[in-house]
Amino acid sequence: MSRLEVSELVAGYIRGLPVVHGVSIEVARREIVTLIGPNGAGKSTVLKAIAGLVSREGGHVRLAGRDVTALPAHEVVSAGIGFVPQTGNVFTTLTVQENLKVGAHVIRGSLHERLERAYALFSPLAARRHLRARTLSGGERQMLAIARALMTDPAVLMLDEPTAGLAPRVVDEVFRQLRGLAETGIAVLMVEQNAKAALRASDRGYVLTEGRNRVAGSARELLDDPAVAEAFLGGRRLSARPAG
Amino acid sequence: MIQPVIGQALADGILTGAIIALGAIGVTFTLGIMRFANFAHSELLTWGGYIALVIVAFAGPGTPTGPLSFGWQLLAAALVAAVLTGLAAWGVDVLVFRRLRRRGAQPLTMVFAAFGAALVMRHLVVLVWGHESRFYTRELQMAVELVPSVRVLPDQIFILGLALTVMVALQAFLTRSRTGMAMRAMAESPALAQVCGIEVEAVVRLTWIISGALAAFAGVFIGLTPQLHPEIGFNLLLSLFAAAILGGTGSLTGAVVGGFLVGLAENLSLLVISPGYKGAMPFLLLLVILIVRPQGIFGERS
Repeated sequence: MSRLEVSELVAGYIRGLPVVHGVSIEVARREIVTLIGPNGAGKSTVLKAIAGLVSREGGHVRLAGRDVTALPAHEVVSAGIGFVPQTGNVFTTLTVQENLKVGAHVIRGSLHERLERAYALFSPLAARRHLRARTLSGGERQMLAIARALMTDPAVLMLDEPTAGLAPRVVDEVFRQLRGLAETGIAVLMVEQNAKAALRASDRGYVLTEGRNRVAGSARELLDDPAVAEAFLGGRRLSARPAG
Repeated sequence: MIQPVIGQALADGILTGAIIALGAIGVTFTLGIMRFANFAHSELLTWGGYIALVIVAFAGPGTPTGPLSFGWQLLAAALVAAVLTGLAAWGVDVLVFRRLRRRGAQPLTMVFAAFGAALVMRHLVVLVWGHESRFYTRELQMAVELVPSVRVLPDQIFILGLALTVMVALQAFLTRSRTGMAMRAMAESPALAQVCGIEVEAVVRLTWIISGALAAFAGVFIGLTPQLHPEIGFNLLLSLFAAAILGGTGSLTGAVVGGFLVGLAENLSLLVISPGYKGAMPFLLLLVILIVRPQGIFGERS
């Protein structure tokens, strides 16, 4: 059974005006799955809908078989889905440690072990634990955002453009971290603008266009598919930036 | 003779400042977490004062304890009034603001709704108690001379101590408790707070209850020094907003410092200008801060 199973999801920002028109996705344990597609394809909206942040008007989201479609956002977190939004994903006015504690809001009891585990996983954060998050570099902020989402021990980790705006060296580091997390048994689902690099770091991928599934396959198949490469991986005609 | 007069103005300013600070904390919380200017907040001060009056009417203000003009009964009344005013603040939210929030109302719509709520709340007080002044206690108090020519009432010193205690406790709650941190998280980003599993409506409810409770303390303190009337809150409205904006919206420390600065400015102004212009002092401070540091003293540039 897949860890996360999304079937025929219909969702959008305004009720009655969906931008996602029936998307189906599966992510298994230990797997990294990437959603790619042009701007406006509804990739981010799919993640927000799973997280309960936008209105879901049809279809189902199942987490290890449990239907979590109708849960409000704060219960989706307790159910086991962690989400790292693209922008504003750390509380800049709180310290690093406070960010992690807020990330563990749904956990009752001592957070000591979880905090130490987060600092062990993301060592640069340990030295900065009492500094405000606004003092962190872009890469450190992304680390904090991921560490924050991991505080609840989620079964599924979703990331919206985790490498946007990061230096190439840091991008590799983020993908390496995600692979490490997947190996611990987490199902990772991400949306990436930087599609080629993301697919190289992924097991499988889905191409979405206009709020619908277009192509799906292993990362290798998608990378080798000339039609996908042409349209979505920075092929010459539609490329917005040079292929990396 | 100018020094002693300054001393008295400073003492008065600090006492007024403590009361303004208690009210301004609620204003800054609504601005920071609910993101609108709640012009009905001042009426919660009035409600708190009158709710305590009802309790005192039944239980009595207590026999004067030591140099104070009241006994423990009045303190108990203030506590009950704080709880009830907190619930009333939440009640107004359920009746008015929450409905608008759910329809995606703009902040300006919320402000107009707040004006409406303020009018209704104030006139409910007039309807029940009338326009005349009310007193918790008719005990006469002798002012004590702290330093030469600076006279304060023992009640005022007690109130100052209590107000400071409440503020310190609130600060500890916000920085150390799980719920307090959730409130600070909400103040920065409701969207990210939701992603962290924080139930937004629960934080909103708690924010109203805390704001209302602090407003009630401020209202009771005004009523003690020396009287209640239906405009006690309204008369402070601009001072409360000046204090909140001066300190930086969303910041507890800001509201407290802002409250004391506004209180001091109002009272010190009496040394140089006629009392008629005292009400303009908060505006002057606001103008200066908006030009020099628009985000307020403790505000974060967004």
